[in-house]
Amino acid sequence: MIPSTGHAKPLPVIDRHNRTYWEGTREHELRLLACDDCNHIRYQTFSTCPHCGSDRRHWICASGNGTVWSWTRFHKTYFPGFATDMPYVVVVIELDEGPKLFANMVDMRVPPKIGTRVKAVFEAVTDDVTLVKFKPA
Amino acid sequence: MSITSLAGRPAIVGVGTTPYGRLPEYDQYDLGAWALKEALSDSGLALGDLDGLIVSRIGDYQRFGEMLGINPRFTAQLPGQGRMAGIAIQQAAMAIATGMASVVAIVYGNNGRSSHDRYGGEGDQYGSGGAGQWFPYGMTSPGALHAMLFERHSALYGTTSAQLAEIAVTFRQHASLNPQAVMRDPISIETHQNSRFICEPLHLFDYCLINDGGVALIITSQDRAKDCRKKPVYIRGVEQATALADSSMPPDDFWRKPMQSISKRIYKQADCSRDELNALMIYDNFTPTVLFSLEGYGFCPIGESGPWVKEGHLRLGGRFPANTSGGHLSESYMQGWALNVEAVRQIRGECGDRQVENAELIQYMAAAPICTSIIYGVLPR
Ligand SMILES: [Zn+2]
Repeated sequence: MIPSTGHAKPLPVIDRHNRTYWEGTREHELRLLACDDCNHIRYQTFSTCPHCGSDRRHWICASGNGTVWSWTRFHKTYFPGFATDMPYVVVVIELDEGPKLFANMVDMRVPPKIGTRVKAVFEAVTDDVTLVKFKPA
Repeated sequence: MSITSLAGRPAIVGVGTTPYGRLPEYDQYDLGAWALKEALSDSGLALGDLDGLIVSRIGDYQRFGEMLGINPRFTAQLPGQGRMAGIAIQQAAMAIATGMASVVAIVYGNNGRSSHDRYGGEGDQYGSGGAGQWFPYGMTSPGALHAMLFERHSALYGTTSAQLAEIAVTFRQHASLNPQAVMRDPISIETHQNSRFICEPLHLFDYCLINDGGVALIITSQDRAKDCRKKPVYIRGVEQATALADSSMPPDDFWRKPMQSISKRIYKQADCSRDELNALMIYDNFTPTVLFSLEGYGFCPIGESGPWVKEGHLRLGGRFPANTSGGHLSESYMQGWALNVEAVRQIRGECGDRQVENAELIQYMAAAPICTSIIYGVLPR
């Protein structure tokens, strides 16, 4: 599964639902869907609002500020592309806007303390894909 | 509104299990059919008596029905996820209670070890459906999610890995008394603590054991149970509650809300209290799930499950002996199914060296985006 781009790690599947999100990260914006009717903000690019059921929605640009909710450090290699990063940390970030997401800290080696305030940074991994990562604020 | 009793008083009248381990000669269908044959023989009923069939993890209900040569009037297929074991029993009890079926077989076949089923990584079929969006960050596997939940629990309440070790050691001790268990050599707290990390802070011994095996149960009404070989084990209460909203992320409350919702209803339905229970069967895909279940289902105060298990309550001879078969951690990961069989065998008094004295009421419980719980009794409600 090594893409010809030279990036050995898995890449996101970009589709019509999340295209705006991935266009945003290339412009160093963390875009989230907001409900036109109840203002609920979601990370998942569902066509309807999980809070009120409305399908009327718009994209907002999130602050990129959040808090470390938890972490785990992988000692088992599930992805060959991560072999040289072992062991690496995946974090759960709770964004100030509400949604949680999985991500990496820029430094994937050291687990951050739960509760650490963080700020989004943008890391281009291919011409098309820029990942959102986090560093201590 | 809650149910106060199930019409027809559904009962388990037959249980069947294959050996667990590496069974490369058998596929899911073979394992399910083998377990079903054992369950029917246990019950004294024949294939022709079945008019209900629910399968889980068996690829195709139609092919399975064709293989058995049966035409049930109630059929359903559930995905191969552990949270489905309780649902299968709930659906069977509902079919009996409504009269939609009179004898239901629920059948599970899992050849996950020999077919190298994955619970993480790019070939994952079971562990994290739709979770491919997180692969770019290296995030995958239910174990990783439970590791994050446990780390969060530790930060909030001071829970420790040594407290998880108590669970692994206790269930292994129980497995050492169970000839059917895959892992029977006792382990110590140190063995657990010195074992390698998989998804830190979880160690190898915090993980369940992927194996091949089949499990089947036969469920019928109290009336029909009179014709069966063994004393029926009654389903006194069965309840479900879910937390599907936001379920792609680990829950802030460790699934407490659905478990508390079940607890409000199930003791009423079963007409008993927690204090009357003689044993627990707790879904233990990973050791932290046991802690979350004990708190959510109300066996100890919120945040205190770590010290509580350390007091030894889950051990044979303790206040609430749990997973007396060894559970998923040491008997085999039969995704809740074998834990329900163990509850039945305990109530029948068939458990030999690991038998709980006077086991009359046993609660099965699972914590996940779908929570289920069942209370089994030697007597009907
Ligand atoms: Zn809305």
